[in-house]
Amino acid sequence: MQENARLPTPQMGPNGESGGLSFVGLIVHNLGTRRVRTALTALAVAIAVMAVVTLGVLTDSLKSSAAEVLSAGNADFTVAQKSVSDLLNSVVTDTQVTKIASTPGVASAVGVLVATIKLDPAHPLFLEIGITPESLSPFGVHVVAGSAYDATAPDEVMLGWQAADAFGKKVGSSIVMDGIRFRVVGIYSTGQVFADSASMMSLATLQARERKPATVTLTVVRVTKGASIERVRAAIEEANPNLATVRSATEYGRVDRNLQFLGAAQTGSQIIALVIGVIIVMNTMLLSFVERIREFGVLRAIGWSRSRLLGLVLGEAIGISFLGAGFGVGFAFVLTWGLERFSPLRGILQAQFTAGEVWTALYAAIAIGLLAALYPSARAAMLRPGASLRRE
Amino acid sequence: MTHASNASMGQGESQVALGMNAESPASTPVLEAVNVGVDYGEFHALVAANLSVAPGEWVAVTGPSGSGKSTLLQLFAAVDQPTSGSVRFQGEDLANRRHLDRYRRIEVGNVFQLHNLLPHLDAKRNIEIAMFGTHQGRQARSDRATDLLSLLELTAQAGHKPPDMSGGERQRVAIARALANSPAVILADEPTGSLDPAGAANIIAVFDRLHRTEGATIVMVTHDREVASAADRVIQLEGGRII
Repeated sequence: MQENARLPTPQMGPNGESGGLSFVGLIVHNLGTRRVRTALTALAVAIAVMAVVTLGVLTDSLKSSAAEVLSAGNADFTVAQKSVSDLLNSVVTDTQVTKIASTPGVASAVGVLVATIKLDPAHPLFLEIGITPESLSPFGVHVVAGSAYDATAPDEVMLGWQAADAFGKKVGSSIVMDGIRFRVVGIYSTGQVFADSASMMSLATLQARERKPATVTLTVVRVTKGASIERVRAAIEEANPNLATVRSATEYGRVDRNLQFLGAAQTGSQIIALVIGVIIVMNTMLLSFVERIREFGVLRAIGWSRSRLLGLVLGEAIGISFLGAGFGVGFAFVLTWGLERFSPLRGILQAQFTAGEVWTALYAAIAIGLLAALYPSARAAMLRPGASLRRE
Repeated sequence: MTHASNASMGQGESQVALGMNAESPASTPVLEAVNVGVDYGEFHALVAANLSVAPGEWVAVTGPSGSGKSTLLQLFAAVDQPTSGSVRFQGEDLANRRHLDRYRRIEVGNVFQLHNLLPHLDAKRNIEIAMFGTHQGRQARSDRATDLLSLLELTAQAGHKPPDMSGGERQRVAIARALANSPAVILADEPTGSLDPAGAANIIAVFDRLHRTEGATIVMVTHDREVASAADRVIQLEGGRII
């Protein structure tokens, strides 16, 4: 035996590759060899990821859009009725607005009435905001064309610039809302999509139309310079037990239970999407496992350990997960892009893809891949090589 | 059959260090089957079989289909366990071994009847995957596979996948895979079963060379008496019993 005599080390392999096959290389190779199965399994992961990401993006978008109503007017905080099912059902009386305005530390308190009407089938929830003309400026409204409506004019309205753009209206045009013809006297901008896609009219006019005399939906509060916002909030809540103050979008649930339900529905839907994804991918992987029993048996027979075989199957699952995550984010992006342009949702959805969405996709995909592969990989690892080799 | 004359090993054959792990003292059998029985339900595949294989010995196990030849080999390969009796490697009962994976990876090299190469991997990679789990790095595995392919005159087929190779080439790749970790024993189950006479002669020539020049211990199952005659010793099985 010539133990020390070895052939020269080849610099390049027979396939033009340098070096040998690594374990990760084998995983990638296996995925590439079974392209159709890999693609279909990744597609199943991608669809589940798309559902999870899209639901998350849409819900976050709805939350932030809804919370924009509260952040209008450059206010320090907003006051609304506590725990109503929908913010639009909040009732704050004139007396309470006056009481809020007289709270120590409050510089201004502007009462705003918010209502929705069905303008046309494409705009089933068109927003009307009732506010006194003198409160427009403190509320952060900039009249960019025409002028503000008169406090006593029942047929004058201002349109947000996005609404005017969408309806092709300009100063002097007329618009029919809830069967009443209004004259567009001005175009305004607030810098917030929700408000800029709405209309504004005299508070008295909207109160009369909505049959809500002497009440508003919310009150926008600014505190005096140097005053503690938190102390002022506490004082208002103490003096008005049925009211709640909201300073940020995360506190929105205090005055709108719908948003809490929306969050719960989002979580539930995401879990269902994940479970469906796991079941579909597991089914595919189990089919793959059955087809590869002999291959696994050979690997066990030539000395592969259970853990290595487990690693191979889980590694392939993770590879598929990465593919699924990538495709899933792409699908979610396309889907939300389409939804944003779907006319009933135009102006309401402002989907924002952040790094957080990519991480969510990756976590979801890996969770799906690993959970789905757990059982097939365990079965592969537990195979008895003799029985596997006898299998036709 | 003139085994040696049929051996047409490449020029590189003498340069490759196979390093067969024939560490067993001459007095201790490399492999032993002691009163081994294997039952599949009511069917007795093996009945109280006793066989001892000495280091460097080439043993052929013959017999008709269903006589228990492959079952005995699978016990030696530790891919199956006996219902009764014990299988020993270098005196140690395999039932007491905690890591049979290592035994299958290092101590024995399996050559299956139907080669059992992975069809989606080329010849070289089929050999390399047998070295996963050893301490050899990527480059070392690649070099070893290249050497073995050269030894078995398969350099030109290194990048070919099993479906693109002849039966004889596939079986030689399977032998190369079995030799990858320099095992103490080569276990070959009908290695010529699916080959034409010329291909069979070539494979036997390879075993003959490994046995003569490398001192390889070989246990070969075959139903072909002529193939069996190449071995040092021929064991006959019938109805699960060694006769």
